[in-house]
Amino acid sequence: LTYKVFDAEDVESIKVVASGKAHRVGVKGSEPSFIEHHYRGEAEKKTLPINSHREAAGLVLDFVKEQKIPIEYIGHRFVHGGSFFSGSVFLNADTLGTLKMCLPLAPIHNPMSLNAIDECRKRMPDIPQYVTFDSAFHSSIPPRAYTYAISRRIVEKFGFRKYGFHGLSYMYVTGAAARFLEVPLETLNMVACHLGTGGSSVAAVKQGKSIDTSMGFSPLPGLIMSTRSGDVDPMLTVFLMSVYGYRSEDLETILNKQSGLLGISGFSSDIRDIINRFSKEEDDTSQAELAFKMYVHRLRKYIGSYIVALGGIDVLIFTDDIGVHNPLVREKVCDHLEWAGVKLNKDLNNRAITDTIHLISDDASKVKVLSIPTEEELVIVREGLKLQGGSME
Amino acid sequence: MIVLFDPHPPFLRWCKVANDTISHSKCEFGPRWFDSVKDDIGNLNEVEAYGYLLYHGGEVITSPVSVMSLETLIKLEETVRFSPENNAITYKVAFDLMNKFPTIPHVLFCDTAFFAGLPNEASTYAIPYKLRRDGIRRYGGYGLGHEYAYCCVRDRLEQPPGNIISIYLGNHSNMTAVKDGKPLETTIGFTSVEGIPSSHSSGDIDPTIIFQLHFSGMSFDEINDILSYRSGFSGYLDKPCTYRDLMVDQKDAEKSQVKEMFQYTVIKHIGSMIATLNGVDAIVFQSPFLHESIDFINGICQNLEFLGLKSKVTPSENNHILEFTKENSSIKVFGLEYDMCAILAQRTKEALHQAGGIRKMVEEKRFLVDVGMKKLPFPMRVVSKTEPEGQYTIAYISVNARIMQQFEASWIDKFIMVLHAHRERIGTKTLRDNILDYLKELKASNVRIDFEYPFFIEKVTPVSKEKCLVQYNCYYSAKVSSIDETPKIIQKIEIPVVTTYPASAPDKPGGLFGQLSIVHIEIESKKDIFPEDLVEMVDKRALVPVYSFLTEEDQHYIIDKVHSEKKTSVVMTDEIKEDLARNRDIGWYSVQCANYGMLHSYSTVIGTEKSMWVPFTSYGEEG
Repeated sequence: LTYKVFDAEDVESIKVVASGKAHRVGVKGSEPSFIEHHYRGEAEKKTLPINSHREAAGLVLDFVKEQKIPIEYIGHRFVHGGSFFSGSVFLNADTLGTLKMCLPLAPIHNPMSLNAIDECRKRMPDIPQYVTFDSAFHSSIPPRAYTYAISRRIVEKFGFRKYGFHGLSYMYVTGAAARFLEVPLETLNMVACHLGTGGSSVAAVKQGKSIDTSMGFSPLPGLIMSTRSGDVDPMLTVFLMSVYGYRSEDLETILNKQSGLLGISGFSSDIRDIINRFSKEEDDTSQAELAFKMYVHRLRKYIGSYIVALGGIDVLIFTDDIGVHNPLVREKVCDHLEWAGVKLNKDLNNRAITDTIHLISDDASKVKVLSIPTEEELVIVREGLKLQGGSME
Repeated sequence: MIVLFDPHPPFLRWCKVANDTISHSKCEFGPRWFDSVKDDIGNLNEVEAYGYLLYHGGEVITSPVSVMSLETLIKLEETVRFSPENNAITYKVAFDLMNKFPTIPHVLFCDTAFFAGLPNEASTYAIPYKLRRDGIRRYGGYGLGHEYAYCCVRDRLEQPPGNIISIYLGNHSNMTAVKDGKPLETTIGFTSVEGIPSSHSSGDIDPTIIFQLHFSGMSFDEINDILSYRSGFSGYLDKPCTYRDLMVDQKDAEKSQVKEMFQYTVIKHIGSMIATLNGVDAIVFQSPFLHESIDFINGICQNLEFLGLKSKVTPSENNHILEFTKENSSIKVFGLEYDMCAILAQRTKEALHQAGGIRKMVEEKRFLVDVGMKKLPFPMRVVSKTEPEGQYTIAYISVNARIMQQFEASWIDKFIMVLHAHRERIGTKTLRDNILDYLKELKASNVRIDFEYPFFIEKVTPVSKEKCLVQYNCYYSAKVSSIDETPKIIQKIEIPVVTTYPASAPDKPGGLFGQLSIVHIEIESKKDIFPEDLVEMVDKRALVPVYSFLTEEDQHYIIDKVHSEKKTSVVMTDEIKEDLARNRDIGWYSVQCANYGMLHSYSTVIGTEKSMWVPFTSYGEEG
């Protein structure tokens, strides 16, 4: 669980007052859980058992109270609002009831968020609270892109459709790109790649609105990720279950936890390890090299398909850990995008490894390529300002 | 005349090509298929050549066109597992016709072979790598059509294009990126369900959907049925809809919506292909309904104008090829009428020309024969946990072998000879080695041996602790083919137990009562699985095990248990399945439980689903 306390007078002047993170919440392991706070230039770390996200939220509120930091609004991140929410909302009995209906959509993340929300409401009943949805950014995806071509009866019964994820990140980086380039967001077509150490996805953003994205009903399909397979032949899972006798639960674990870079390379889910191994030319590097090639190949294919879906792009964005810190991935991907007007500046690209916004395309490049560290909390504050229609002193 | 066969379950389709006229026929694929073909064609002996289309060659058949030999036929059988429904028909038809007309050339066309050299990054799934070694990979499809399209474009353009995207539009639309004549990427994967939605299959979906469907209680066969046959255009519209319907029917609002989705998917895949190739010189569309697709293709072209593509308002036609783009267009777009028969007929002629005319397969009328013997009683020793040397028993042995005709006279002596040499410790491990001896000695292409024997286990009765011997019927079924020399061994056992009769209930007058259930277990394993262990596992899961002898106190104990505890055969079968699934030595299993309730004269059967995969594609059972 991470938190930030902001002093936000208006959209232009948002300052971080305090921040912190609770580590290993609810994890039973050899290492203990702890919480850290950063406030007034000082860091504080407390090691204690934190059994749930509810407890972690409680600890944050304790700290804020101890330090006498005034709180006026609380904003929460909620991963999956399904088709119930297309934008941020203030919490009341109504919206809270609808939130509960969203629980099964993201069975891991959503209940955690709801528990934290519940704790905050209990402890600070008079403070207005609101929720910002990761899925809301993708609510503009049209039916032609969100529909699965499965038997309609099944679709209606189960509610299968593409939802998409990483919405807050896309909201942040597309806005940041427009500001950086000093061009209105509404005039730009962009493809943004959120390449995280956990999940990764690509989004096609037309004039500030998402029109397609690579994740789907769940965060499993699309790109090759650290341990997730991304797209596979739908019949493959059926075949493995019926012919190889895999159990459905086991196979779900295999595709989510033992596939992706880890599955192909056979030794690591970390793309840096994989690059290190095959650049060293040790004995058997073929699987490591294949893992890297496949990662890039799949990413290229998605970017290519979204460039064509958008009828050409103005901006290509790389964000999150791998997107910001891995010049080789960016170089190899852009290698095959010359046809779309992408020309990377290798020097700029190799130097762009710090946590600030970098322009890495050549002057002659028709498409501006940017590396942008994402800041999802900032989006939550901005959403709050929008909701409140003015300042949040 | 050339006759070309195209499997299309439940039908067999064929076309006759004579002097550039092509006529199509089909019949239901059943025991009478040969008569239907004969009625249609007339004198089968005067056919110039027979051709067979194979949809999925797996890793076994990797050349697009081959003049068939005995070896090709044996390889063909190995491909059946990759696409059981389609390939089994191709195999059966080719086998019968080759056998009946050995002096006529037979040609095999493989639709996945074009993709045999697909680069690893495109042919591998991002799943644990060991599965790729097992043949779980992307195979592609429609290779013959894509190869043909590539050649047409190459011949048409003055300088050979480097990067081509070949797109098939039809009930199973798919596309391929071709660089310098070699495929770099394709939309069809392990099966043709992957990629673009077809008239009845889903295309790419979130794999989580399958887990949710399975979790909701659907079986694999049902999920397979939904994704393969009840999805796509027809599934989404909830009424039959072909590719042609989608192109022709302009008025139906829902169909237009599906058409838009379909077009969007095609456009996105084109983008992926362009990125794979790093640019594209020509795009070629191929369709059996080309003229109906003109507006659709124009729509796609408009989406690519940002890349310098300049489309014409109406395409021009030249030598049967439509051209959709202007002279100065950076990307050329062509359209071809798709006619599989014409392509295959052409390639048959080429292949025969290369092979030096008509080649005689063998002089004899039949070159392969299936021989066998049934239930030969023979003393043997079989693996047993409690008797390390093996338990003595009499096994009834059946053998089926496919051998060359010239060895027909002597095979039985050879068989008995090998049988004598391998009488010890019959089990999975020994059979794995032994069956290769049979294969070698009989000079066979395939051998299957079945052992059926009683096995005795000493049990102790529940209360009085008396010892008694209980008999169990056990089976081994071993099969091997000379192609890969990898034996497949299935072990079977029948275990009688007592379960709760389903109509009985504790709150009913008379309460609970029992029934005899016979659990049939089939497994394929790497190691010897002892019958003792299987019996122990099943007995543990049953309401009460079965004994051959019981004292009065034992009887009371069992009757009390039957009347007071509940364990239905459904629950038991499920638990047994879980136990088997947990055993990592077991690669495949099936559990069925036949119940002999007291109210009817028949037995009811419940079981875990039999997978789509049939362990033996039997070759000896017909005729």
